[in-house]
Amino acid sequence: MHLVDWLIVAAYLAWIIYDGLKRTKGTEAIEGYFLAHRSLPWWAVGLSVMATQLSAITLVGTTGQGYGDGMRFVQFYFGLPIAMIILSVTLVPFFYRARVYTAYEYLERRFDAKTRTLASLLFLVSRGLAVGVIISAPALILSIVLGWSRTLTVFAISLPATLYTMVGGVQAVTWADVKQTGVIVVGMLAVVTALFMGLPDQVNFDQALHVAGSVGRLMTIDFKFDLNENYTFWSGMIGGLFLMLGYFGCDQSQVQRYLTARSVDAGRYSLLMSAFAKIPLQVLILLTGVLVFVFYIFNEPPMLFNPVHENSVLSSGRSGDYTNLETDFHHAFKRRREAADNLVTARLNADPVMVTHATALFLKSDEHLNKIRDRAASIVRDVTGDQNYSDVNYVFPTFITTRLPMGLVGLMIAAIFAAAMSSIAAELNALSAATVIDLYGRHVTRTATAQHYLLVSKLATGFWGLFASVFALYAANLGSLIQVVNQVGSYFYGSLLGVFVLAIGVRRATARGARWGLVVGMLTVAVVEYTTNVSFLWFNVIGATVVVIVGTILSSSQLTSSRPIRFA
Amino acid sequence: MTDTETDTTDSSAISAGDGFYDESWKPGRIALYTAVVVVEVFVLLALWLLSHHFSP
Repeated sequence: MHLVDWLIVAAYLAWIIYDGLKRTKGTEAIEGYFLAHRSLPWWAVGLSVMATQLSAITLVGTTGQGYGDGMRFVQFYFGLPIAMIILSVTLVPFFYRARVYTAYEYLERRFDAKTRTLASLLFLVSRGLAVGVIISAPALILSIVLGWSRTLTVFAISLPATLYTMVGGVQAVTWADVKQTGVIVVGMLAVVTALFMGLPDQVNFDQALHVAGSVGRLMTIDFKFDLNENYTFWSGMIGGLFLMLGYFGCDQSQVQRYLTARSVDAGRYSLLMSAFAKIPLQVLILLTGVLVFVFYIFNEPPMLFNPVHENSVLSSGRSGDYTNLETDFHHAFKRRREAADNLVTARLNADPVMVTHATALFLKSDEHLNKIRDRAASIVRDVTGDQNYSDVNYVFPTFITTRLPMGLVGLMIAAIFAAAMSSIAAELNALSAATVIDLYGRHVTRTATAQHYLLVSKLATGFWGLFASVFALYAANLGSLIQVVNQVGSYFYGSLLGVFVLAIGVRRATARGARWGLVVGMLTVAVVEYTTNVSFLWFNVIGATVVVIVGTILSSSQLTSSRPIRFA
Repeated sequence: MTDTETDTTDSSAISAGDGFYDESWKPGRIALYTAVVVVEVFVLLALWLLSHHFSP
């Protein structure tokens, strides 16, 4: 990277920290620290909601998916707009009217303290570990791409976010999110522009999309109903709907965003902003990945995008095989480039016979190139022992650092930092709120001064930041543990959503029914995961449904076998 | 701890459905929710057309 790019990254980090640190106004009381006295405008909250969801894993991983698999992943978000409407009608006014700090506080008002504590603990465990993963994944990628140590990248991401969240609370988080969303969107638009400028003269936007479409990269909607398939119209619409209801309705990291809005309506509008903008934003990110794929059709890519693994192979006994493959790859790339040029020419001549013939040749040459890449990946797996090797997450960072012009490299590295920090800061703020409001203030001391709670809240933020950073340092070596963290998240959302459905929708539901329903729901999802190939999006549907059914049955049997429950 | 005990000790306890039939259903909001659905349908249609126009 050029000095100018380093300066841009340094200036961005300094700006975010400085601005976050000065946003301490109104944070002398705990309501100001966690909820900004419920005073923020809807558009700032809406951008914060979007920034929290858009982590660096999303930015880097989604562009990688666009490159390797095309646009299909966008189906994951199809349920989001409907989820936002449902939440605007149900949970948003419920939480507002209850004047709660955390989503789980509502469960105590409706059920009891045990249910609240159980839900809050589930959130703390799953989110606390997940923040470590959110830091670890981009830190690992940036350390390889930038040549920094992993410890340095972990703390370059986590330290600024922890610092401004600790000092400025939710105001610092929200206003930093607003700026970070701006940096990400401007960066992505600049990359798309740079991508087009890097294509040959005869390849315009239409031709680029036709080339990508010819190898299926623009297949966006799959109406096949297959429970084992990750991304289909139905899994996105139904499974995605339940996931988004769980994430935006029951996860404190999102609930806390819209509780800071200045009115119920402002809370609703902040969620509806995502309903309008989220799918187009994801289309932009995926399309960027697709255009990187088109760019590398006309400009030779590296055979593998992870330089560390490549170096391991080159210094091993298989280096000869790998070098031979690189020669094959170079020739295969030239053949594919020629086939792509022929396809573009055929399309420009509007000759359907030529187009069909050129498309077939292009598909064949692309398949040949992919086989060589697969063989190279197989050598990496043999040499490194990493059976899950995939370089999909390295495609976009490699493109950024090797192909973008000076200045834009710095902007995009800053955008990756921004995506990581915007998620981390919101999570830390929410973890601190759940720790202090649901546990410390509820079970340890209920009569301390405002200053005491504020101090404990800041310390809790610092603790979770440190915990997540330390976990992030080790997470890269704990592949299976990362999978466990993600699995716990998928058990958690659907089942917790079921508890909230019982709370607001089933008048006869009791605390015991809700608690046992939650346990049975999570266990059911675990059994389904280990005994079937059902895709993870459906876990949310299964979890929520089981909790509601079991919770309702247990509540009804409890009602008939004991005294009736009296609601206030 | 039974549910009854909890409810009697928590003076701010609430019941399922409290607040559901509120102003959520004002005409302006229904129009906004309808707009979300309409925009999503158009976005899905655009994506479907994108698939079919550019894919062989």
